[in-house]
Formats: sequence, structure tokens, C-alpha cells
Amino acid sequence: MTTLADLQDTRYGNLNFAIGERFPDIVLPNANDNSALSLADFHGQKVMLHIFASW
Amino acid sequence: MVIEQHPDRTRLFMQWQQMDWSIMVDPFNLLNMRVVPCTLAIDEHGIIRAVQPRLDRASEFEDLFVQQQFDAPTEPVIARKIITQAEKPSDADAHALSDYAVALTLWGDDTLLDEAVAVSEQALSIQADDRTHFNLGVIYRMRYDSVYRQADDFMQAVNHWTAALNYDPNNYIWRRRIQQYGPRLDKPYPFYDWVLQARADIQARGDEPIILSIEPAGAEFAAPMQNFDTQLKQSNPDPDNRIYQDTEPLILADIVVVPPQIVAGESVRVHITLRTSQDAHWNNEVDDTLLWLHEADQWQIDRPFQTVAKGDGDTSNENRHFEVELRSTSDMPIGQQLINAYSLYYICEDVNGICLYRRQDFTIPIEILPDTGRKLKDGG
Repeated sequence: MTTLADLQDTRYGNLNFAIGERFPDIVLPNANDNSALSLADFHGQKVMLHIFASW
Repeated sequence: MVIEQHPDRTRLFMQWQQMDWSIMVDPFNLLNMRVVPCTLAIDEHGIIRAVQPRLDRASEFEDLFVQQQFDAPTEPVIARKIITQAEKPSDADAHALSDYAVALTLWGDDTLLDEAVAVSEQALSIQADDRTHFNLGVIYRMRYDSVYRQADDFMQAVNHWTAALNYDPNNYIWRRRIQQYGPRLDKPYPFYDWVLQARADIQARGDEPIILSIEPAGAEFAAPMQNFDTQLKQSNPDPDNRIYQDTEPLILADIVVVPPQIVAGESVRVHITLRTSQDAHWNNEVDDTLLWLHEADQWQIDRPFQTVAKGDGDTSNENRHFEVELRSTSDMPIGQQLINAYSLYYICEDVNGICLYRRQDFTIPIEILPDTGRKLKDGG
């Protein structure tokens, strides 16, 4: 039976996150208005978090 | 979440791509990402359920994540706490001091950058490690981009990023920060060439592109390239050194070599910024500012003669920036190499002062290290 772990693209090696761990407690500025933004703001919702750079 | 030095570039990118979701800004790479992009699927309870899910299996992902309801963990799952210190900590705690400096820059305005540099330098003096070096490099570059810029801020940034990378040569995020300003041979791709296309597309839609506080320039636009343009299209403009030297000097030259050290056979990109001192100002009623690099044994120089166009109005005080690349031969001797260069410019002493044509000579130091397998280049 397929699990979410089976869907991981493993070409990128260790990405510093493990399935089953809680996302780190971090507060950062929102690019739109510099307000404080945290994953806790989305509690109760599923979140797709994409970490990237525009370069 | 975006991990780059200039967050307003991300805002332009979002405007271009019509992305209207929230974006967290992390110029310090506080999550210690070693590679981007990275996608995480996080459930209703804050638990990571998928890491880098494959796009070619999107329908399975939808079934297993989007359509699923996840139970809350029965046991508490403690999150790694990544905080930025809100208040100045004890003088002895290096990491807390470094965190505090990060907080000052993330949440304060540019007036706090001097304090952030001082606190971060204090942290480094207590405990020098990769993270403290990288954070300090980010803060120095932020101050360089602000009105509070000091002469060696950019060089300090590059030196601290390089020190961080020497601790961990596999940290791709730190490597990219140096490559952003480095030679074209080391670039995996142009970093900000999308900016021009983004502006054109946004304007074509009838919108006004977001104005960037710091325009990408030179190395940030440059594409990877092997070929050097070494053909002299212009002869030495002052071969006999007849133009009077700027002995005051009325113009200050900041020289930053990226990367600061190489092994024989590698390239550097040299950033030369000319700025007016005290009451001096550029005289724009005459010609452009010139840069000339003298030939040097065992160096290939890309575009040894360059100009920067004069500014708007009769006088101005803007910084004038040159970027030039040099490639060493594979048998270059180890040690410091000095490249000689000079600039010619029209300058006025002060508002009602005398206007002059002046020359300033300077040397560009480049450190050649023994080849111990260390390379700045990577495969991306």
C-alpha cells in the first residue's frame, strides 16, 4: 500500500525535515506587509509550504 | 517561504507569477536549509506528513494528503524552536547574541543595522562558527544596501559568507549567496535575469511593477559564460600618467573581490565602487567615468576598459559601480597577486568649488591558495 513517504522525491538528499515531526516554531516577516507570520496562524488547516528562492 | 537576501525581489516575482498567498521571508536561512526548492505537506496539527512529494504522482498525493483527515498526535510532538531573541541577552551567550542581531534586522528598521553589526561581531568574538559568520555576512550586506553603508560592508559580507562556507562546503544556500556576486564561470544560471521579463509582462497586463529598493546589477544578471572579451577596443587612455592624481581624494574607491580567495585556474569578479567624499560631487557636464585595468602576467581580464555613464543633471553624488572578471592561469603562484588599475573622472570639490579631471590608481589584491581540493564551484 502506497504511503506519503513513498511519494518523496529522494534526489535532493537530506532536506532537514522528517515525516512525523512538528514543523519548527518560527515567526518571520510576511513579504507582503512585513507583518509577523507563523505556521501557527494556519492551525486547523492543511498547509503546503514551498521553500524557495526567486533566483 | 523565501530564502534570499532581498525580499522585495520576491514581491516582484509574486506579482509577476500572480501568487497571492502568504510568503515568509528568511534571508538568514534560519531553518538551515541546505537546498531549495523544498516542499512540505503539513497537516491540521502542524505535523509534517510529506517531504518533497513528487509532482508526477500528484493524484496519489491528493488522495493521501488533501483528502485525508489526520488525527491529532496522542503524545505531544515537540517542535524545534527557532526564535529570534527579542531582548538583548547576556553578553556571554554567543548564539543568543547572534539571534538578537537577526531579530534587530528582521523586525527593526535600517537605523538598527549598526547595532546589529556590533552585536553580531560580539557574538563572533565569543564563538566563531558557521551560522554566526553567515548571519553577520547577511547583516553587513543589508547595511551596504542601506543609507548607513560603510566602506568595507560588502567585503565584510563576502568574507563572512566565505568563512561560513569553509565550515560547511556543502551548504548550497550559503554558496549561492556568494555566487550571486561572483564570476560567471561559477554560476549555474543567471540569478535575476527574470526581473526584466517580469516587468515587461506586468506592464503588458496594465499593472505597475513593484519598485525594487536595490536593483540587481552586473553579476546578478550575468549568465554563465566561459569566454572572456579580452580584445582591446580602446587603448590605455592615460599611458604616461599625465592626468593629475586625485590626492585628496575626492573620490573613494571600494574594491571587493568575489570570492576573496581562489586556487590557480579559477576566476574572480571584482566590484569597484566609486563614491564621492564629503562635499565633492560628480561633474556631469563633461564625459563618462573610465576604468582601465593594466595587463597582468598570467591573468585574463574580461573587458579591461569600461565606462560608467555620467549622471543626470549638472552634478550628482551617486555611487558609480564597475564589475570586471579575471581568470588566473593554472600555474599561477600561490600568494597574494596585485592587479593594477585606475579610474579617470570629472569631479568638483564642493557646491561652488573647482571642477577637476582626476585620476586615481588602485591595486586589486587577489589571494591564490594552495589547491587542496577546495573549490567554490559546485554542480548546483
